[in-house]
Amino acid sequence: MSAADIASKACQGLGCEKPAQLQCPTCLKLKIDGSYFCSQSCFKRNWAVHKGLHQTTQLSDRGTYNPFPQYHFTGSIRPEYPLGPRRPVPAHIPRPDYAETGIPASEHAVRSSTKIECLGPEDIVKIRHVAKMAREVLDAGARAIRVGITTDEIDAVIHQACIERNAYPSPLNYYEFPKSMCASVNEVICHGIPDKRPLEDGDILNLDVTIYLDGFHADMNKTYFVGNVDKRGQELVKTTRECLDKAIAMVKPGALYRDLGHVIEKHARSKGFSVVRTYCGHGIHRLFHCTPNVPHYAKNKAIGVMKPGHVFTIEPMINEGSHYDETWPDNWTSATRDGKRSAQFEHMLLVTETGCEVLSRRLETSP
Amino acid sequence: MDFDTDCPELVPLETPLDQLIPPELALEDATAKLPVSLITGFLGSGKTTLLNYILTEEHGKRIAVIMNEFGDSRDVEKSLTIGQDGDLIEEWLELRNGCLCCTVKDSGIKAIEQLMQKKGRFDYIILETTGLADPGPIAAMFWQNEELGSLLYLDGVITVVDAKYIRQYLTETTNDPSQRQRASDAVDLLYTDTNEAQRQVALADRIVVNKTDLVTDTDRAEIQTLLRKVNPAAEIYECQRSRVPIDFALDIHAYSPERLKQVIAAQSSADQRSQASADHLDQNIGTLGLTVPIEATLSRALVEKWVQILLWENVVPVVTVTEGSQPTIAMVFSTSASSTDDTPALQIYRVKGLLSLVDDMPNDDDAGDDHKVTTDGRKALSCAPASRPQSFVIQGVQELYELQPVDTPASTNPGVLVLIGRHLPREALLQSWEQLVASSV
Repeated sequence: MSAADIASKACQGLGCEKPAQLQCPTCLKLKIDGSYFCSQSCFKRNWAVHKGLHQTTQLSDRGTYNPFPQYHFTGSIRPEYPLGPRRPVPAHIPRPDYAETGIPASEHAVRSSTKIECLGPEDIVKIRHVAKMAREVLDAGARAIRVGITTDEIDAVIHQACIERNAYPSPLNYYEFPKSMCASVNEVICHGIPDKRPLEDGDILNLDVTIYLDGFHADMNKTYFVGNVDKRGQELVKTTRECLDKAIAMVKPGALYRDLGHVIEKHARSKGFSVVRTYCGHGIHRLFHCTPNVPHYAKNKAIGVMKPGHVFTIEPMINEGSHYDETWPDNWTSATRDGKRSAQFEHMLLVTETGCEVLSRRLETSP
Repeated sequence: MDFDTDCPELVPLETPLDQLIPPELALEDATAKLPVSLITGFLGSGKTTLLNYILTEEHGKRIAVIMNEFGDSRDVEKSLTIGQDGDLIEEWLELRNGCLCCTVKDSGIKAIEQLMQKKGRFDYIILETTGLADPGPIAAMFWQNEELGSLLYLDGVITVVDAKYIRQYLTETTNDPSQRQRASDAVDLLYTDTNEAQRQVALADRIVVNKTDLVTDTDRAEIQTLLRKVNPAAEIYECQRSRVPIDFALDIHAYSPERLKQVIAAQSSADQRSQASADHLDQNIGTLGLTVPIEATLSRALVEKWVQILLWENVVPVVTVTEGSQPTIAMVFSTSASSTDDTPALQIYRVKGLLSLVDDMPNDDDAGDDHKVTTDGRKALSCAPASRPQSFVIQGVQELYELQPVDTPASTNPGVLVLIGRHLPREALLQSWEQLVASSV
């Protein structure tokens, strides 16, 4: 920009025509031209009127819109609203305590405890079955993946698959989460809300499914390729799966929960990737999330020794770039701070007398 | 969210789009981490006076004070007071709880980070818990969040006690309704649980004995002795109207390994003395000092196993030494005898220690070292090769514990491990520890 150009900018403040040396950063981001101001105080005086300029929410040609036009997204994925009404769950299906209130009171009640519950034989029979049903639901979602389908359409498939099995989709209304599963694309690490964005060739997509059936939750996720994914993306997904496999190989009575993160981080680093620190694996049975906490990074202070009857998840989130995460204004979607891709795999494990059983293992029918 | 309501700072006309740094990134680049002090104490002990005193003193710090209970999942809004040059500003923070995938990064910590993005950096954060709160889980939460790359670190726990009533609070037992009644007569103690007072003292890094003008010199000496029994490792300051030197309360770095080393060195002789006087508070909160002779070197793996069983299983570890092989440590729940109600489970609140150990831990290479920076920004020392003993500090809060190597020649001091907790079976613990020491080469 030449000196002459700068000199010609006049302040946009009402009744102010002083030369402007400053501009509104939000307009710059939104590519709105001409928002020049002489000073911060003049800008502040005109803010009430000026901010209306930022409100130009544009509908895409699909009739969708980005609900947070002001937010500085870290990558290229944008939310595509409207989300649509909450999918109904038939009345005969038993639901967890938060289904109406959004607040899992039963989880709060044991919040300060660090004790890990050991399930008895009868509970194990039940949770094994619930995990198998959850795997069928996840597989149903996976079969629907194709270029052009929206994650909301996949959510509908998963919601229906739950209902067919008389199961409640656990994410629905958990702390007011609006959908029946999480769908996390490319730089979204986890907790992506299914929306109206059509999947594109080359995306990596994580589907995270949890169902509630017969008094137990079962939780698992996988990352899938949409069409043709580039080489580094394939490496990221492959490495993430290997990280999970290596961690599962350590699970047996007497092993420490804190040691799992070590093998995960070591393997991720050997391929040049990083490990997300904000989100952990967790205990799961009658509660969706409970003790133990299972960090995926090395040198953590996790509490507890594995014992037969413990049921928990390992779900490493591995990033192409740095491990830092950032949450979208929807208060759910977690994205990488550098906008590079992130992959995740989750299994649900039962500690047995001799090792472990992967409750969420693939079925003969799995795609 | 309020992206629309806040007027942003203007930027120069030449600013290219890619130079607009989102506030989160700006924070991440900030090198200094933010200290958090926890102030606890019973109602009426003088916490608020202490806060007001700290907020109005000349210290040039921009301090955020968080009142009310913290970490209670049901509260959706928290009151926040920001003190700067004596100004008080009320803010309401919206907190959001939990996540679909179990984040351990507490919503309160997120809220503080968000507040800083909006209001600019603070230099210091003080958390005031309500009088009846157990500071343990809150301290543990901050300590654990450090490893999540949080901008905050726990500087220390300050407990304010009322000189007139503290002996009563500490010596009464919850199981005894008659004693409880007496406390209620003295002062209106709704929901009194004396264990809370004991816990607050046990978890303190600094103890402020307030209102000393209300008691005699003999009383003061007694209070000192009593507090020492519950917590020999904390520094004590006697005062009136909560007037303490600012540097007694703030920036004490209680959790840095170097600081801990100094504290233990200074206290180890005192521990010996307090051990000699074997009495303790009604089987309740107490301290146990365990020692290792200079010539003995313990195995790190065995010590960690011992500590894990103690902290996580709440039982005395059973050390078994078999002829010609490595000793083993097991937990034994004597289901027949101990499950009766009159022998309550032991519980450890704090562990502090300095030990010379042979680092025989498997899996200890450099994965994760990039994150391993101590609270004062120094890089942690790398571990010595196995078989050569090295000095470690160990510290624990509630069930969390951590070992860190320190720069002290090994085997120049006797090893010390201080346990602060409730219902410590002293004889059994001493015996178990002695077996562990005897097993070492």
